[in-house]
Amino acid sequence: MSIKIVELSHIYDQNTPNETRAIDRINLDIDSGQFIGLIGHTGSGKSTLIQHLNGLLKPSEGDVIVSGYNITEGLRTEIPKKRRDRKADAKARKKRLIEVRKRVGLVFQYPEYQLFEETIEKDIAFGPTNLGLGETEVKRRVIEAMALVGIDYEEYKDRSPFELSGGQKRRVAIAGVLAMKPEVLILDEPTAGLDPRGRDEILGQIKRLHDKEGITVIIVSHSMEDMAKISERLIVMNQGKIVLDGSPKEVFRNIDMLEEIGLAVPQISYLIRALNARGFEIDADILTVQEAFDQLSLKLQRKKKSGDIC
Amino acid sequence: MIMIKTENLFFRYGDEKDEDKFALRDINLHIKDGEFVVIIGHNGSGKSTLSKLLNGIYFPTQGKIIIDHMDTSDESLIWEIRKTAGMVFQNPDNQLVATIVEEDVAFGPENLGLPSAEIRKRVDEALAIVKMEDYKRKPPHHLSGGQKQRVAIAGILAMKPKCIIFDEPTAMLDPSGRKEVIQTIHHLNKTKKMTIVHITHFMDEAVNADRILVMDEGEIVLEGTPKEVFSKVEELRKIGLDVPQVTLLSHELAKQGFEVSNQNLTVEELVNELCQLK
Repeated sequence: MSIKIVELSHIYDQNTPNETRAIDRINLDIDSGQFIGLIGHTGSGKSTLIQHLNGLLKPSEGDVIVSGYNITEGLRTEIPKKRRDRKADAKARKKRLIEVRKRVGLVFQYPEYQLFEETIEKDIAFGPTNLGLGETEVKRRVIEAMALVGIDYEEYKDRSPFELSGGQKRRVAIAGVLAMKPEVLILDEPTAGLDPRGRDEILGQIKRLHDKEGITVIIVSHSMEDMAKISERLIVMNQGKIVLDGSPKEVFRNIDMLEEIGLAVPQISYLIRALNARGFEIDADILTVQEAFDQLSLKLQRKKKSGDIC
Repeated sequence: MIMIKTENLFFRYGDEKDEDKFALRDINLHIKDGEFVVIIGHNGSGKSTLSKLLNGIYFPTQGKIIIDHMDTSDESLIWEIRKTAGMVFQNPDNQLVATIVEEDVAFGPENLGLPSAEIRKRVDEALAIVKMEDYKRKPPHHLSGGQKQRVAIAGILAMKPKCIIFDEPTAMLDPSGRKEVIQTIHHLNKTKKMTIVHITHFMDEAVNADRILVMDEGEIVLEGTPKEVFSKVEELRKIGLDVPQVTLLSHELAKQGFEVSNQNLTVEELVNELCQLK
């Protein structure tokens, strides 16, 4: 499922002295099945942008088109004057938005704070039940979603979600969104506050889900190392605009610009730059430890035989 | 002089039914005055529990904690202990209470019952140390995450503590916010000679510590200088932690038989070594 954003702007507190343009005339095309990293410092407009993708925020200007359906149009049409028409209109509008939210799942920051049910099964079932699905289908989806996040159904279904560890709670919260079977999954900093293993587990599960189901994934993250490893396309935002858009290799080439807007690049990129400044001639696009290791060991082996490097 | 000392410290949560299940087990700490100690460990390893014990929020089930000669289990000393060992938490939004920055910083000293001239002086000093004096009349919710954390730190500084315990202060911040907070912490340690206990999941934040403690399952399993600790790549990985990318690369190169130290922590160190390999 594709997403098309055309000239999208969002202005908070419009027509007041506090007016701020949180996102500013953004154009973006996201193809079905892409794995996207969205980065930018706090206040760059990332969260505002993603909340437009499932109709939680209404654009001040521009359009959001999710698989051919223009969400904004639905939100913006004039409310009919006649009371009877108004009711029908509201109903149709609601139906369209449910359609969109079914397809675009949004996992907020610290989603574990949104758990509320008595048991894990009930909590995950909340979304699909509200979609009006039958009991057996809901159960099937709960089982599937729990398997996807690596939490055993039989062992955990009747437990309270509040007895779990932080990392497990977060996975249950993500399962709640997965049970809606979204075609686009958007996660706002899914690994914030987790330890390295918890981080790798959650990212690994999202990656597998993407590969297996072919869904579109958009991850908002502050971890340049993780994004270098996992995403196919990186979008960098600053002051409400998209300033870089490309493969991680293309994006992380712009070390100076990224630093200027308060971001960083993976430590390995700094290493490669420093080595090349001293005449190493290593491929400047390298982003991971493995790639750096492969190239360096080749180089060193060769130099061992033939003389100096620096 | 010893700032923080724990002796055979055991801790079990009050609602834990299993008598043998301790959240902390036999912790013996000696943190010197002016030392910069980083604690790492995975979620649930006991780091935060330990920090809350050091601050007198929880009390030992067995054993003893001495903060600057004061025993935390002595209730009459609790305010003195919290004044000596201040604490900064993960979420900046949960720590700020007032509607403008300087009032927030004044909250602690006001509660100490200090005269207003003294409060004014302390607030200004504290905001200057964290470089937030230009924001003193701003509402905290207009600040970035890094700035909010610096205000939270100023609030602690206004109490004139000897030691500050940071419980994942950068977990919710973006890279530039993290940098601001880390620089502030270093400044407090280096120029103000404050004792720092810093709990984090970011291994690169541990690189400049005097000492790193690694916790797993409620125990301290590794301890040493950053170079000593991070050279144990395999052990750290086994308990779900990682090491800085440069250290990992050095480790892999050394394993391949190249003459690279497996204790490199910074880009410069590794570059210098690689340049000498001929």
